[in-house]
Amino acid sequence: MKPIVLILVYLAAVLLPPICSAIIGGPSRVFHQELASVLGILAFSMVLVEFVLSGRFKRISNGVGMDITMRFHQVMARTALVLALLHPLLYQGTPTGGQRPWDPTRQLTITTDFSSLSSGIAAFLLLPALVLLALGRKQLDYKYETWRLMHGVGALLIALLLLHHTTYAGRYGSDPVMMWLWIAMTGIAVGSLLYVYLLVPILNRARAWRVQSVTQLTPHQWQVTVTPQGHAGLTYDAGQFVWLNVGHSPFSLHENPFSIASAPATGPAVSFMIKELGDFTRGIGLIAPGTHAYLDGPYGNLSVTDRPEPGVALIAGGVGLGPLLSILRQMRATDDPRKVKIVYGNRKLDQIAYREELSAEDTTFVLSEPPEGWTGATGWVDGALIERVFAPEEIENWVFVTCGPAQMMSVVEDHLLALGTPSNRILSERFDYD
Amino acid sequence: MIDRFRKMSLRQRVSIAIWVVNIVLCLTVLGFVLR
Repeated sequence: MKPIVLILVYLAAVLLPPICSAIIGGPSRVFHQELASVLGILAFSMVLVEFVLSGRFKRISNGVGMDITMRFHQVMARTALVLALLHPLLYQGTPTGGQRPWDPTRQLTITTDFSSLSSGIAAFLLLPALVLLALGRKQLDYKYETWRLMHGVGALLIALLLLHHTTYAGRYGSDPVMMWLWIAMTGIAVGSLLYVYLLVPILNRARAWRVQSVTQLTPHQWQVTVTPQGHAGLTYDAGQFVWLNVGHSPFSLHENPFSIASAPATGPAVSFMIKELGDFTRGIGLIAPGTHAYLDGPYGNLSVTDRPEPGVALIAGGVGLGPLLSILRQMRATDDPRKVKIVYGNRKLDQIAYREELSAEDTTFVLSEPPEGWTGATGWVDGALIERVFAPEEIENWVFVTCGPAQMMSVVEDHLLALGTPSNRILSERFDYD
Repeated sequence: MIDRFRKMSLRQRVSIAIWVVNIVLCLTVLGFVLR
């Protein structure tokens, strides 16, 4: 989905409940009560759309990039939180003592019935907890799988509480049309969770893979190769990534996103370049060949297939080499006539992976902590290095693909833009969303 | 204007998109209470 289409679809979905509420109408109440209602309506619809944004829907994320979709998910969650926190505080001056007998449909008053408010109060407390736990995920240092479970279950609980609160306590939500709209939207939100955690694993069960080999590339980087078992394998573009689950049930939350380092043209086996960082990757070297695995994907839009530029610049930092290696290998396997230049940055010499394969290409190895006698480039992958490696006409006409540490990608992107490379010729994918 | 947008980084364009969405949400709130 193109970014502009994604924004329009997002707005249409989020604005549907407030627009329908406004059409359904009823006598207008005092300003602050109407404001409180619309903030609550918007917050709920935004919470529901968050489910779809966080789900792995290729139609949404491929084209925009899952990193962008996730970033949007994170920022809009914060906006929804602000609206939700303001919502109850604006109901000041409302008469208390329960529903008024002269206003049975709550046209002019709000309910103070505790049973309808309790679900809203619970959601009011849970939503900030959910957002804060997500924001502090790294600092709190809990396992990725634990966090995913907490986030998914917490979000589901909040959605159900808000559905109850909106339809029982809401002046607009208690209208039958609005009630069905909220039920339908909550159904879609819950359905997107079920799709990711139930339907995809069921489909993947029939598409098992086996670990063919686990090879140590550098002291902390490994190549894991998996082969399809009884099926044709994965249809993917060079540069894409999948969610990899090794040795667990297809329903397990033990799965992580990894870029594919192999080329689709070289056969059905799929290789990954994986760095030991924590959780699952810490024990990557202990995986025995023959272990079963499941792949969910492909995702991502880091692809140079069918692009018209005469050359491809691949700029990698550390384990960010993975998807760029896939692109390089695909180009070589298909005799792609486009020129290729690679910039590959690392801290130390022993961190360089696939050195022999890359040395056969036009590769600039960069080390920030070079050993004595190192004759390659030194320092960081920055603007000055880009200008040294690429001629002005290459900067102007080639497509640049970059993957690596967030800071390196930002520096490279900013410098290329300053030198005149249009943004549509700079491709990147971030795995660190904040 | 379009040329300026083309020269922006992906991060800047995402920030602008998020601002646009937030502004539309604010206008919706305003439209709702003033209807």
